[in-house]
Order: sequence, then structure tokens, then C-alpha cells
Amino acid sequence: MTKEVSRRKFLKYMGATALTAGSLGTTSKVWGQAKPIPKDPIKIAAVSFLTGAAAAPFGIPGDNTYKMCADMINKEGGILGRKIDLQSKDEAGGVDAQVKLCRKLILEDKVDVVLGYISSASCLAVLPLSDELGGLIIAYDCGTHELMEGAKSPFDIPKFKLGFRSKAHLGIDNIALALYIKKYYPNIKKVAGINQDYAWGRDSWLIFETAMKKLMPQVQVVKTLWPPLGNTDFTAHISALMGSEPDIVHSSLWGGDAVTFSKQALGMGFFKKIRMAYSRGEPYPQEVGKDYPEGQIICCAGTHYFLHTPKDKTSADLQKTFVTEYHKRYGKYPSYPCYHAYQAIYAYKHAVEKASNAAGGGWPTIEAISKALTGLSFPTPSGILTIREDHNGYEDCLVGVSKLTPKYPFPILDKTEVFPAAQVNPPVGTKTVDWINSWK
Amino acid sequence: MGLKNKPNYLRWIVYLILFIALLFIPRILSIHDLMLFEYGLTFAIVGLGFNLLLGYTGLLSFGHGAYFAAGAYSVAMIAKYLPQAYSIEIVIPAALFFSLILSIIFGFVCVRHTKIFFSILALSLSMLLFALLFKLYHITGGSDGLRVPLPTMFGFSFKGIRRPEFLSGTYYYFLLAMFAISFVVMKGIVSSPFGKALQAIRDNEVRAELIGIRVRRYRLYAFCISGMFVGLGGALWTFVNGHVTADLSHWVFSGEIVYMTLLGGFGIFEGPIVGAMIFTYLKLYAMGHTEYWMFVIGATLIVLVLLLPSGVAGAFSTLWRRTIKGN
Repeated sequence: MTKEVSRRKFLKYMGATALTAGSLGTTSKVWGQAKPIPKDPIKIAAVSFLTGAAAAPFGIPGDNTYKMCADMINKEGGILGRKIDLQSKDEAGGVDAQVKLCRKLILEDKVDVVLGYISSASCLAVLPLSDELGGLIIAYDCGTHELMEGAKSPFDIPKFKLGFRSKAHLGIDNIALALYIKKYYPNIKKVAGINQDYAWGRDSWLIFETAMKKLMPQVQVVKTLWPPLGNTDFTAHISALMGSEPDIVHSSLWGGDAVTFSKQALGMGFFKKIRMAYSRGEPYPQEVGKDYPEGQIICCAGTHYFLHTPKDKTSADLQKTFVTEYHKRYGKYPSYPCYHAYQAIYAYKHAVEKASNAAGGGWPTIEAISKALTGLSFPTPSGILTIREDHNGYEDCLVGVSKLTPKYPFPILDKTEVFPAAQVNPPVGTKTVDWINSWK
Repeated sequence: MGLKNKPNYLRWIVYLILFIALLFIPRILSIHDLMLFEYGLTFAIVGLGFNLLLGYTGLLSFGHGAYFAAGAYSVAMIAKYLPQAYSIEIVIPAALFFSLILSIIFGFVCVRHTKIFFSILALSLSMLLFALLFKLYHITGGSDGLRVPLPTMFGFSFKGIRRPEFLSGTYYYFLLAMFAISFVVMKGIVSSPFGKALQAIRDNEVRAELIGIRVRRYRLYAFCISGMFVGLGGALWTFVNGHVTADLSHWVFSGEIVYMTLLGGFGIFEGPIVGAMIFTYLKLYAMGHTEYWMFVIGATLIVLVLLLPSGVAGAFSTLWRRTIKGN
């Protein structure tokens, strides 16, 4: 199954890239002189949190996916015949440790590409190293919208020549939530927010609040709470939220915080009157199980949901294989970080193949791979992913409401709605907040 | 007297030879190793400052990340908010100034206590700064931190130059000069009557007070000097790293400063320098080779405490003395 899909995809790409290259007619000049394909394996470093709070919800699933994808690619013959030598690295140890590690990976270990980073701080510190050291870096899971944006709109793109992010930023989650609320709950009067007191929580709320003000100006914000990261007791926050009687509470809580909040709120009868809207709630119904409350609005950080069937046939086939294979290996359904990891490693694969084809064979130069990544569009288990000229991923976004069914031991998403990429991603060169403010 | 001066004289010759050798480091090391070496040098300055408190005054601070952050954020904030003043000859004095101010404020509270009380107070105050850097995120960048561009240096702009080139060229020599100055100044401080007074306080507080040393005030002086050295290290480090985050003021980071000082040996003047160098390489190579790097760091600490209580430099010095005696 896997083999068939990938061959078809490969042939399709061969055709497409050959056509593009042919029509340009300047192959060797633009795509550089490819060298003969080396015999040794491709060194890919995958950096995710393997220790600490972000390991269990994101790092380990992400790292598992890298391993699985590398095996799948190797089984099919590798990339242009070269096998992948995957090296998993830990993202813990502080930002300075990540800067040092990335320098070591590129300069000393001479890896072909660094795929990685869950924390926005790591991404912000490490991506500039791509151009400084001349190494290719693809960020795979960090959310900050500041990563590829400049200080003012319009800003110059791309920010980094050799630095990419193979996913969209946190803007899409929060904009999609606001759009979903407007469509399904048009009569609500009050909203509130509970977000962790650091950049991630603050940014998520900023975008959600800005979008809500534009989409539903009549809705009042009654409370904004900022619990610290790693909070273990949410009872005071839950009481305060219940006291202010919002209809919907926005939250970007993640990991243990999201699970703890949900469990404590359930015990206090929170969900009888109030509905949560989680910007990245997708992994937690599966984590919590049957106790996870029904009727909660959940965004999937893209269309990364194991029951989602992409419209595109190739993607739909890939999704089937991906979910089955992941479940077989790890006993769980893939969560959104898994899809992000898939996107990063396959973005590299497709770009190498595209660049090699365009140059008329051989192993492409790093500049050619970077050029191929820009504007690359390829099928993934969650649909077609495009990497835009600003080197940022461009994705649709799926939102649904949790609902228990007899088929799964945890609530799945009901009333799902996919918001097209153009509706949730700001245009190239415009800052997210400026774009939302320009909505008519 | 003459006998006593002889080894000191020799010692300075060795220092000078080592300094000259360090001048040639960029020709020997690869660009990656050189950048790592620069991390080591900045932490060596930090270690020198930290050890004035631990080794010479007998105060163990678990909050020295705060002064490191003060130095680092002085640089990053000037880069962001006063870009016209972003030159190395302005940011370094600014970093020294702000770390001095911070250490006066924090030190004033801390030096009233010793032992565990001092350590915990220093830790809490540094966490206070951490909370501020973390929460005032519109100003400080919070957990995402701030990017630090290349500064101008004595009127010379490095626009269009990549950071590795900057670090392997002029900046290395600047850093080395700063390290040499710090080294000589600190050596002067610990050998001066002031330094001896600190050691007297360390060895016996009551006796020191009885012979007329104003213990609390001397501790505060030591604290401020120490804070400034650590702040200087932090400021110099920012250019090497290129990014600062609030984590620098977190007690975990302060713990790393303690760790490297213990690793080298706090009983010897050069100990923290050796420790800073080893720790820089140890952490990176442990991280680069295994997912269980924290285990490696932890195990090393246990081995260190059990087998080499006086640190690597301490062990070498003992070995050296024994060899000479044996001969």
C-alpha cells in the first residue's frame, strides 16, 4: 500500500517538476550543478523534547514519527537511493544549549538537514543559524507567528534563506476557533480566556481576541486569566471563570496543564454551563479517555486529525497508511505533532527529489533544495501542504466538538469544519495581527 | 621573602605563555570548536566572579544567573530599544553598570545571612528577576527572548558579516583581552589586603570581626564585584550565543554556574576557568551523543563529589605537588 502510493506520488512529481524545469529552460543556471549522488546515508538530525513537560505530549510522538517515517522511506529505497541515518536529539537544556547543539550538528556532524524544535524560543534562536552556518533547518512544530514575520507590515521575505517551517503558525488555530464560534454559536454574549502566562499563551490569546473583536464585536470579554506554566491547581481559576459566567472560554493550555485543568473543571461542574475552546486541544481527549468532557470546541493545529479524510485522493491514501502504521507501532492514534513531523521529513524528501529532477539528476546543492522547498506543494496525511515564499507552511485548519461514540474509548470530534488556508493564514508579507485588523 | 616570590614569578611566566598560546587558538581550532571555546571563555569570566564569593568569601550563591541575565539583557535591550547606541564600547560598560546596580540591591539583602540562608535568598531573588523577565513579555520577549544582532565595535560596523566570521575574527581577540583583564584584576583582588580580609571572613567570621573587618560590608563589596564579573561574562556571552531568554535568570542556570565551579575546583584560583571549559564541552557532547545526557551530567557530579572533592584543577594541583615532593 505504502509503496504503491509513494511510487505514484513520485512519478507525479517527476512529471510536474520536469515540466516546470522544461518551461523555464534555464535548468542548470537556476538549480546549480548537482553532484553525483553520494553512496553514504543522508544524515538527518531530529530535535524534539525527549525530557521535560513537553516530551510526553509533543516530543516523543514527534520523535516516534520521525523514526517511523525514516523507516518507511528507507524501506522504499531512501531519498534518491540514499538511506536516511536519523539521529534523535533532545531539545531540553535551554536555548543556549540548543544553539550550541545546532552549531555542532551543522558544522561538526555535517548533517544534511536539521528537522526540529517544539519550543518557539528554540526556533527563534536556532533558525537564524541556518544562514549563519549555511545549513538547512526545517522547524516542525513551534508555533510563534513572530518566527517568519518582520517588525512591520509589509516585511521582506524570506527572513532566512535556508530556514523553513513546514507548518503554519499559531495564528491559524486561533483564527479558526473564532470563525467556528461565529458560525456555530452566533448568539453567545460573553467569552473569557485562560492561557499560560508566557509568550505562547499571550500570543494565542492576542490573536483570538483580535479575531473575535472583528468577527463578533458584540461579544464581551469578561475574564482573562494567566495561570503559570506547569500549574497543578486550577481550582481558583475555575471558580473565577464560573463566577464571570462566560458562554465560551478560550484556552491554549497544553500538556499536563490541559489535562489537569480538564479533570479539575469536570469535578467542579464547570462544563454544565460553560464550553471550552482549545486552540491545540487535539491530543487530550485521547490522553484523558472517557472522562474528557463532551461538547468542547477543539482545534487540531491544522487538519491534523486521525479521523479526517483529506479531499485529495493521494493524501487520503497517505492518511490511511499513516494512521494504521502509527497505531500498529505505538498503540495510539497519531496526534498533531506526529503530522508535523511527517510534514518536515517529507518536505525535505520532496524538495530533494524536485531539485534533483530540475537539475537533471544527481544530488542537489543546499541552495537548490532550499529553492525547491520554496513554493513546494505535496500531499501529506492531513492534505496538501504548501510551503510559501515566506518559508512558512500554509495549511487548512480543522475544528470540531468533542463527542463520545461507542467506537472509541475517548471522545472524537463531531461537527467538524475545515477552514481553508486562505481564510486562516495571513497573506505573505503581512503581520498576522495587522491582517486581522484589516478585515472588513 | 625572596623564596616566596620565586614561584609567583614563575607562575606569571606560565600565565604569559598560556596567553600567547591562546592568541593562536583561532588558527588551530575549527570554527565550531572556536565558538565553543568562546562560550568557555565567557563562562571562565563568570566562574572567576562566582568564585570570589564561593572560594574566597565562603558564600554559595544559587542565584548568580540573575547577574548573568542582567549583563545579557543590558546588551539585548540596548540592541532593541537604543539601536543607535548599540556598540560594544557602550554596551559593555552598560552591562557592568546594570549588573552592579542589581548586585547592590540583591546583595544588600543577601549578605545579612550566610550558609543555606544566603543560598536560598540569592536563589529567590534571582527567581524574582526571572519572573519579571518572563512576564514582562512585551518588553523582554518573555520565554521567547530577544535576538541579539552583531554590534558595532569602535566605530566599525559588521553589517553583512556572518556571526561565525565575526566570532572567529576581531571578537575572539576582544574576548580574550577581556578575559585577560578580568583574570589579572581578579588575581589582584584576591591577593590584595581586601582579598585576604575576605578569606579571613570565610575562615572565621567572628575572629575577622574582632580584628576590625567590617564583615557585612566586605561581603557586600565581594558580592558586587562578583556580580559585575558575572554580568560582564553574560554580556560577552550574548554575542557568542546570539539570543537571550529569561532562562538565564532561572535557578537551573545558576546551578550550572555552581556546577562548573565545583567541576574545576573552587579552592584554586584557576579552578573555575578549567571547570567552565570542561563543562561547556561536557554538556554539548553529552547532548550530542545521548538522549540521557542529564544522566551523564548528574553522574559526573556524583563522581566528582565522591572522588574529586577539590575539582579537576584541585586534583591536578595535588598530584603535581605530590610528584614534586616525591622527587
